[in-house]
Order: sequence, then C-alpha cells, then structure tokens
Amino acid sequence: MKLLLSAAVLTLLALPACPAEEAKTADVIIAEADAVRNPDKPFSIIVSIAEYRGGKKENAMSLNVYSKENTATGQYRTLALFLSPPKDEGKVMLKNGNELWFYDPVSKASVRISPQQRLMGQASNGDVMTVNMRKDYKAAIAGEETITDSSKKKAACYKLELTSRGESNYYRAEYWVEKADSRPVKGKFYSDSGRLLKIVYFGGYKAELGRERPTEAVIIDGVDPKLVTKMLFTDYTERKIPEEWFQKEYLPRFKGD
Amino acid sequence: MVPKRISAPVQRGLILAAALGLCPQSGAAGQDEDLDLIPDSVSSAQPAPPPRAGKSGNSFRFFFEDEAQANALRRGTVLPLPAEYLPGWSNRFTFYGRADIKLAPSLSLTLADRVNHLSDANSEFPSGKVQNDLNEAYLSWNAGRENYLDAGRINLKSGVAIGFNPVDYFRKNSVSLRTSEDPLVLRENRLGTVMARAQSLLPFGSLTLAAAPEISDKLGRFITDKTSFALSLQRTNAYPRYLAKISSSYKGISSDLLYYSERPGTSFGADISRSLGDRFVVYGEWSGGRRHSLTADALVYDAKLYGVDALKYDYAVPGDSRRRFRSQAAAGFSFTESENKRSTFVEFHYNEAGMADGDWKNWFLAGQVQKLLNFPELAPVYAQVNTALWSIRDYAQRSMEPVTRRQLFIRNQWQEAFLKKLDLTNLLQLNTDDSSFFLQSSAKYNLSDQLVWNLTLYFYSGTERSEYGSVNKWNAAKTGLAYLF
Repeated sequence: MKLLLSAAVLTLLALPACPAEEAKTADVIIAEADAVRNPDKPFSIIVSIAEYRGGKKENAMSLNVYSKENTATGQYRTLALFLSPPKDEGKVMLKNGNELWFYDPVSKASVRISPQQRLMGQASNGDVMTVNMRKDYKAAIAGEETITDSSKKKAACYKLELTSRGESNYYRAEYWVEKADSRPVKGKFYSDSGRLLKIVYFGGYKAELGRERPTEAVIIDGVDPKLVTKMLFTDYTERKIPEEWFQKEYLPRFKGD
Repeated sequence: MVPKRISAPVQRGLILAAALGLCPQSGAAGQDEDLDLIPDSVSSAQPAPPPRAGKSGNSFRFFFEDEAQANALRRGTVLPLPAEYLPGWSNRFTFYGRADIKLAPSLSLTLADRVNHLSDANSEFPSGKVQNDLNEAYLSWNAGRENYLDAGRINLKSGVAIGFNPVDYFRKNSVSLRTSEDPLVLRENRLGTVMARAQSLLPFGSLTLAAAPEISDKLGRFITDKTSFALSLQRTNAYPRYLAKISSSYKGISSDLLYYSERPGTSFGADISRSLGDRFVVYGEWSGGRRHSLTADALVYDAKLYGVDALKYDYAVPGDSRRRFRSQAAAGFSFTESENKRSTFVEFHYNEAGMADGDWKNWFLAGQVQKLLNFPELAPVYAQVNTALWSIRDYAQRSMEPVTRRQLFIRNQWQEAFLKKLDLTNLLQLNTDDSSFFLQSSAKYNLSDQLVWNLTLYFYSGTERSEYGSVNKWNAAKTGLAYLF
C-alpha cells in the first residue's frame, strides 16, 4: 500500500503542476495580454492624465477616447476628444492606421499629422490602452521573471522581447505579462538606436466590460526619468461606433456623447 | 496605504544575496530599480476627473485676450501708405465665446462670437471702437444614419496645406481682424458664410454639398458692416456660391475633389495627402478656373464698392488681366522631430493670377507718377492712385492668397523650447522672384493651464522695390495675455 501511495505521489510530482504550465507561444501570450487591455467590442473610456516632474504635478489633461478595432488589420482606430485643459478643450484627434488628423474647433481646420507628431504631446499616451501589440510587434519569449508590479506586489511573468513589424511607434520593447492571468504588468520601449524611451507599469485592475482590466498606467520617461505620467482609465462604456466616424470630415461633428 | 520603498542598504543586501544564490530564482535583477523611479507622491495620486465629462454633448469655450502692438515705420518707401493705414501702436481687447449645444438628440446649435475693442495711435484714447464678429451661428440636424443638414452662418474650410489653400473657396473676405500673419491663427478670426450644407458620411469617404445665397450690401445696417454689432454678411455672401466636395481615404491616402461655382465662373479643385514613414506627411492641392488677374479682380472689387461697373474697363488694367483659365497650387511636406518636439511645414505656393515680375514693375512705376509729374494740384489724384495700388495688396490679403506669383512658406513649431512651458513658432514667407521675405517669430508661455503670455516679432526685409521691402513698416512687436476658461 505504502509503495502504491509513494508511486502515486511520485507520479503526481512528475506531472505538470497544472495545464497553465503547458508551454505557450509568444504570440498566444501577447494576444491574451491584448485581450486584457482591449475590450473585444467598440468602447469609450475617459482618460485622465497627470504629468509629474520630481514628484511635483506639472500638467494635467483629460480625453474622451472612442476605439474600435479594424477587423481587416486588427488595429484599433481611435477618436480622442480633449476635455481639458481649457486651451485644448474641444480639439479632436483621429488615428486610423497611419492616417492621423488633428482638428481645432476654433480654426475649424483639420491638419494631417505624422505618427511622430502625435507622440509630441501627452495625448500620445491616450491610446496606450488600445495598441494591438500582437499586430504591431513580432514577439519572442525571453524568459520567465518574477517582478514587482506597480502595487509593489510580486508577479510571476513571461518576459517577451518585441520587435516592430514596421508600423509601431517604438522599434523594440520588453514586455512582462503575468503568467497566471495574462495581465500586462510592465513594458519598456526603445528607439531604433537602442535608447530607452518609456517604461510603462499597468495596474489598478478592476472588472470593466466583462473582465479584469487595468484602470491605471504609470509611464516613466526613459530620457528624463524625473518625468512621470500617471493615467487613469474610467467610464469604460460599450459603444456603437459607425465606420463612418473614422474620417476627417466627421471630426467637426464628434462631441463624444 | 502605500508600502514603503525598500531602503538602499536592504536593496544592496538583497542583490548580494541573489548573487550568492541565497534568494529564490526571480530573474528580476534591476526591475525594482525601475519602480523606484516612481515617486510616492505619484503612486498615491489620482489624476483629477475631467471637469466636463463630455457626456451631455454640450461644450463651451471662452477666453479674454489683450494684445498691444508697436510698429517701427519704414520711411521713404517707394509707395507710401496714408498714415491712417499704419498707426505707430495699436491695442486689441477680445472676448471670445464658443458654444456647442445639443437641443435634441439629433439637433444641435453652434455659436461662436468675438467682441473686440480696438484702439490705436490714430484713435482718441481710450475710446477706440468696438467690433463684434459673429463667427458662426448654425443649426445641425442629423437626418438619420450619418446624413447631416446644417443651416446658418458656417465656417466651411477645405484644403490640406497650412500657408495657402487654393481649394478653400469660402476664404475670401472671411478674416475679420488680421491679428497675426500666421495662417493658423488667422483662421481663428474667420467669419462663416451664410449657407445650407448637406453632408453624407460613407464608410469610404463623404459627399458635401453647400449653397450660399447672395446678400446685398443694401439690406440694412444690421446685416452689413455699418455698425459695431452688424453681421457683415455682404462680405461673406457677396455672390451666390455653390460647392460640391467628395472626400475619400484609401490605404492611408486621403483626397478631396471639389467643384465650386461663383458668378461669373466655376472652379475645380483637388487635394491629396499621405504619410511617408512616421516622420513625414506629404500633401498638395490645386484649383483652376476662369478668372481675371488678381490686379483686375482687386480693382473690380473696389469699383463695386463705389458702384462702378469696372468689368467694362478691365482692358485698361496693365498686364495679363483678361479672364482666362488660371491655376493656384500649394505643395509641401511636414517633418517631425518628436524627440525634440519640433515640427516643420515647408510649402511652395503658386498663384497664376498673382503679380508677375512685370506687374510689380508697373505697380512701382504707377506709384512714381507723383514724383515724375510733380503737379501739386493733382495731389488728391495721386493719393487716390496710391490707395488703389495698395488696395491690390490688401485685396490679396483679404482673399487669403499670395499677392505674388511664387512663394516659399516655412512654419516651424517647437514645443517646450528651452523651458517646459514655452512654445516657439517661426514663420517665413519668401518671394522667390525678388528674394524679399517676411519673418514672424512667436513665443507662447503657459503661466498656468488658463493664463498664456505671448510675444510676437515681425520682420519685413528686401530691397525698396520688392514685395516685403516696400512695406511701410520694417518690424513690429506684439505682446499680450490670454485667459481661458
């Protein structure tokens, strides 16, 4: 009997701890992490952004962001309405693939901007939640690491090495995804020269639109680490967003309601 | 409750322990250092929720602005302007208000108005004058799916270029106050045109139709610009006008095709834009139609003000003034250095109706008549000639088109230049025929989210018989404060 029990224990020990331990491919991991950040239906969120230097708040802004996946490309198209500060209120930014427009209701002018131009303002962080990493980057598993998340808890993660497929804002990235539930925990984003541009921590996971999603992101500037941006994502709302909205002629009519 | 960060000695101990293999495998060496870059004040902070969540569909925007300008006058120009055209100083106080109000689920109202108090060296301080500009006032109805009908005073803007938009057909006479030479700023002062507009948005693009009626300058003092609070509709609705525009986007290439009708002729236009890589955007626009030269158009326009049918006399205007097919075009690119927060627009402008080399010679020659034929009794006539000659250039400004045939335009914007809250904008307009140029440098400093200080310097440079060298001021400085709420 003892022998039988011992054999059973040894057999159990020899088995994988659970099905989750089965090797996942990098593509599966990054797709699951994308699904955590991005609802699978068109939605809107209020993004509140505060920028700190040396721990002191310097700037703040808020946006109402509408997002919808382009089923043909897998990329998210976004319409962002500036709610504050007063000097930017009412401005609208459209991102549809590499077509970006910026509309100012005072001048009634829509100006086409480059993907890089979008990165110049804090609003560039506005669509950090709706980047489809799997479509933007080629992924490879670089290892498994236990890191500290933004709430200072340990998180057992897959570490992914990401390389741009050509359309992304960053040339290369390191990306940590929690093994247990595919939550994105952290990302480090680099330029083509290898310069660290941004470190992002995702946190504040809460039930939103059917599953636990991050409601906070803290972004550390890679060039000037004293510059830290905190983003809050609230009011996740499922929306019916017509295809017709993702064009420059619609921008004067977009009121975010 | 935010956990305390691990002190440096403890960190060093943990790293040493990890190096000796005393800690469980983590593979996370160095990761906590990144987390240490987040100050406790940031970890515990909650960004403030937006003041207006945009859920109601209503939005309001207001600002006060005061700007004072000093002009350094250029003496002894070939063609002097009457003194009242260029005071040594001027001041403008503006209140601007804009409201987008949702009246019903499918009906909204847009209002934009600007009240200005203007005073200058020629006015009796501090009285000056008040000028109210009703920029926009229109109703918008969503007629089902993505079809819209708009009616009222609408600022309809077309085109992709920054410095000159040949296809922006409703631009003529729309700028009520020339508060800057920056085309992006000038657009903020535009008066809309009274029109009815229908727009249908489709998945691949859109179709826009607009019709604007003629509104006579004889209709009354509240309709035309005879009083401070009149609507100035005769400026924006001088002729019946019609526009049809098809917009589309395919594989990142955005384009518009336009048909425009204004008595007595029609024009066709097109624009196109696309990104090149992630730093460049290339774009171009073109418009063509039968029209007179700019010189003839300006004189005809002025003659209309005085009730003269000048079209009968267009043969008397020197140069190629006859009505024929003429093109206007703008082509350029923008370049972004996001790491330095700078973006630059470079454009070449072509105006076939504008003044060519021979026209400029005629312009200066006509202005010299007084010196060549010095009859004092004809001084009032000479003054009228000078005024008419300057009105040609004034007409080009009011029409928002280059007075000259060819022009290079460069606009550079630098955010957070030297200081975190300082934005610099430089603008260059170069006449490629006579090499004279205009340079405008602006600095904007955000004292707070609501208070903005600005300083703008203007420079006009060139020989005395060049476009910018003949301007009666050689530089100017303007400073002001704006309070937004």
